[in-house]
Amino acid sequence: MVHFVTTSGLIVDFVVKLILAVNGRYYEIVRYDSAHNCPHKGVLEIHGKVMRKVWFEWLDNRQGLNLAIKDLKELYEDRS
Amino acid sequence: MRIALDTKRDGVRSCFAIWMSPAAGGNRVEFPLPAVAYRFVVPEHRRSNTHGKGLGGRSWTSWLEASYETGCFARRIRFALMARHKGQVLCPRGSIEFIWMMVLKSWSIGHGKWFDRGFCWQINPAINGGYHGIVRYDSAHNCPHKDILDIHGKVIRKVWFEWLDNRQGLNLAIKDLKDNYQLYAERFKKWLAE
Repeated sequence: MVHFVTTSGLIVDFVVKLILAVNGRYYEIVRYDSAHNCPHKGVLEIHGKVMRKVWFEWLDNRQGLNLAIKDLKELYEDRS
Repeated sequence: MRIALDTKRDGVRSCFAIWMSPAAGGNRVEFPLPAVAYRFVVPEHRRSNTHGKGLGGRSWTSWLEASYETGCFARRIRFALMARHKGQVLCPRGSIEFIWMMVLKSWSIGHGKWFDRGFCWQINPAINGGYHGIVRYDSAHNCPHKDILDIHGKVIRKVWFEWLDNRQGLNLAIKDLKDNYQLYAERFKKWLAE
């Protein structure tokens, strides 16, 4: 799932989630977002609680969104 | 900006290459290409304190070089990475078996400090008694990218990060290998078993 908000062409907010469907239930596995004024990745446990955060403080939102999409495209099979 | 070390003579550029093997005897360091390694060690007068935070006032490159000289490289590279990345280590203790690393730096007269111009990180875990390169980040082709290697060492996929510069690419490489080291290793083991 990809969601982003732009203002005058600038990405002000984004969320990219990897959601896995198992037996009719949906599990969120990895989430990239721009909260806390810094792009970061949250790795979630089975109950949906954030287990680990990885900060990308050297990226802006546009770069973070690109990275999120590329990373999840490339590694979704191994993550799930 | 100008390149600090001679890069045109033999095309290898101002870099150094380091092979590390803590699994094989703790502090053992191997230089498969000693000529390259020695030729491109950053000279004394070019060293900078720019990257020296937490490294006793020395630059990151000279820290690694000194570590080699004093024979405790395997331990010190962990501390160097810790210093650069706020106390985190590359991967869980004891799980680094083999790292191939190359950093290309250039000296900016205007700014008075070193800049990362190119880099290459490759992580080679010991699997089934042999070393295998599985993932490599580098800055060749004028664009940071990640190479996924197969069990024969051949590049099977390239992931381009065209929106990043080398500095950002290097940071991403280190953070990604820290974060996904086990995932890459498990995937590689699965390929080996197939």
